[in-house]
Amino acid sequence: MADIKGIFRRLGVKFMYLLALTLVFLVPVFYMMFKSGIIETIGKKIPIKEGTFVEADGEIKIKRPESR
Amino acid sequence: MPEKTLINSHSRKTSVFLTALMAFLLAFLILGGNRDNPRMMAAGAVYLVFLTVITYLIFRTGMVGKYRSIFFATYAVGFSLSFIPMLIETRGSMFLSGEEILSLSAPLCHLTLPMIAIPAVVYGFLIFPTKLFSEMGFFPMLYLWLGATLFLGRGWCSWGCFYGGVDEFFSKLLPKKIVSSKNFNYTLRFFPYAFLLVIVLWAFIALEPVYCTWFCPFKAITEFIKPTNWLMWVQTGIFVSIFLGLVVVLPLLMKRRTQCGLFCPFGAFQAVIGQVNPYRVKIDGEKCTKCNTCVQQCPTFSLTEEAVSKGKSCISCTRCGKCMDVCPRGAIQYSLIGVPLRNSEKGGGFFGEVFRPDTLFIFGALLFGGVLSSGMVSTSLLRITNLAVNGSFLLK
Amino acid sequence: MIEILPRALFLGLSTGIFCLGTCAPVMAPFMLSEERSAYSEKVKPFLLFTAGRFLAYVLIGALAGWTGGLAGNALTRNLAGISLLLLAMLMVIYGLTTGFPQLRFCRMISPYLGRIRAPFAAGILMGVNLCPPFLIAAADVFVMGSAFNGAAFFMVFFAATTVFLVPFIFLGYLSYLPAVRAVGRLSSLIVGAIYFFIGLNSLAS
Repeated sequence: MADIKGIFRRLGVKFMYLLALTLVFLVPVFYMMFKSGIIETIGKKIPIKEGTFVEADGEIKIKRPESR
Repeated sequence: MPEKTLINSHSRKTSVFLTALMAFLLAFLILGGNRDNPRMMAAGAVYLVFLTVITYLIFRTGMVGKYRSIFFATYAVGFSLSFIPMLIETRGSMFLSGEEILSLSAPLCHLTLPMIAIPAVVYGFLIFPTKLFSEMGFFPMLYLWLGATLFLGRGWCSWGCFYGGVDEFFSKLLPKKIVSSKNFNYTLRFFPYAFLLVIVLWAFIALEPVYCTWFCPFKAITEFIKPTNWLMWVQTGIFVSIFLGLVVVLPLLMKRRTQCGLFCPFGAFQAVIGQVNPYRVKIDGEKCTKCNTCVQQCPTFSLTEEAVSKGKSCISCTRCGKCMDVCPRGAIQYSLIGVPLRNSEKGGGFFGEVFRPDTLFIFGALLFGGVLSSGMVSTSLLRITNLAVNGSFLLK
Repeated sequence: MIEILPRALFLGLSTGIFCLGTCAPVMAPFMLSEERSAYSEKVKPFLLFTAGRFLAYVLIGALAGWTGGLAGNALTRNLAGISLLLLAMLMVIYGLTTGFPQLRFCRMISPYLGRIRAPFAAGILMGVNLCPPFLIAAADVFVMGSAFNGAAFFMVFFAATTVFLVPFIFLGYLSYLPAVRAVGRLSSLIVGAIYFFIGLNSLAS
């Protein structure tokens, strides 16, 4: 039983080191992706709108439910 | 007095290797982006040399807190010196006018993200007057934050945030603290979390970024709405007082980062969300003599006597490295979740040193912060040169 | 009579999310600030708050129905301002007595605070504090001029909006963590300070 626990612990440690190393490698990748257009590609799929205010009166665009 | 063990130091060979690798990656990422602009390229090269020196000093000496703070303060100063003149060039002043708000041209910063999240999900609208895809718009900032959370966790607050260095700068100015924090009430550490809770709910009710409107001290070094009525004067008074009190005066007197540790709601947000990052700061119970040097010096009040006895820093820890610098026994170290603490006496050879949790964290964090800061610091260098040659910060 | 009830239900359900947002800054501190072990104890602040809101709604409804409309804009606005100021004071006192019990002021005032049941009082003050858009939407109901109709309308509205507040019960489970309790107490102080300012502002304007 103790052996199995030990194996899992050692595996866990190896995994954490691998994760840490991957994170370091991902930093340059992260910056290279910044200008690759991936932000636009993914962002456009997210249904969120800009334009907080109505231009004419500066009122907030969002219609609250109770102001119908 | 026994000789201090610096747990994060590396042999000369390892330090040279890590520095060379860092310089190569930084050169690729910083200079690669400026190939069509020779002036920016030159400024970037100067900053690259600075970062390379900082990298070597951090790895060789192991004084992470000390040399990181030089990088971090330079970054913050660079940010201010590039951002404020940029505003003056494009709009003529630091004031944010009604037209700019209506045309959604206010740059977004990471501090707004927790506030705009709930209205964005419920109503599908951004409650901050910014564009979705502009340079400092919503999606680039969201991407940046996701990266920061993944790579740094709350380490963002000591390696990536362009405001944090202002606190840090003032907390380093005086050689000795004037106000002792012996009688400090540690309940106040929870203020940022409470404040976060309140502003998130309040922003949802008011449908406006209330933290920006009322509190954000960093409006003093970026942009703010020109006060035209008494309510706006109250808002201006509040943010200027917070800036002077928590970012300038208290850090000077206490030698702590009081804004980051006791006020910033984004810091609290990042402390909680940043738990996804695998790095932690842990204390070796066998070596620790409970001298509480770290408790008294932690810049963000993230070490308490209780935390030390538990062997780990609080979740608000920004991984700044100060505690490791000051610990007389070398008992505090960067570690990975589930990985046993390392014995500092063991050398471990070249590979042993490269694959240490602290080495991996510092390398990633410095690379992340270095690239992020490069544009701002390089521009500020150009502006300083312009000031010396033409007598003006403005480039146009 | 019957036709106004679906209207109240619909109004309550459609404004519920907003009610959740409005009540959250007051409810959350109460749910988080004190450690309670028994299940009934965990739900207690929620029930007290809800009871306070219920009482306020029925009273306001009956009064409004009886007088045939909400007695003038200035009066309702002043009432809202005053109730907000009282609520602010309550939140600050609650935050201080739970968060900093060693202060002399807190030792003096704690017994009285226990007697008035802070969440109940907060519920009443919150219920009295009707949001202006709701007043406009509900105004035509009161033309009927019946205390009973008014009270019935508000009771249905209360029931519909309360559905949205139920998730707060689960916040009570978080209060076993000392850090969460500290956050709850401090947020009570912050909310108090903000409401005080808003209350003053609405009275002044």
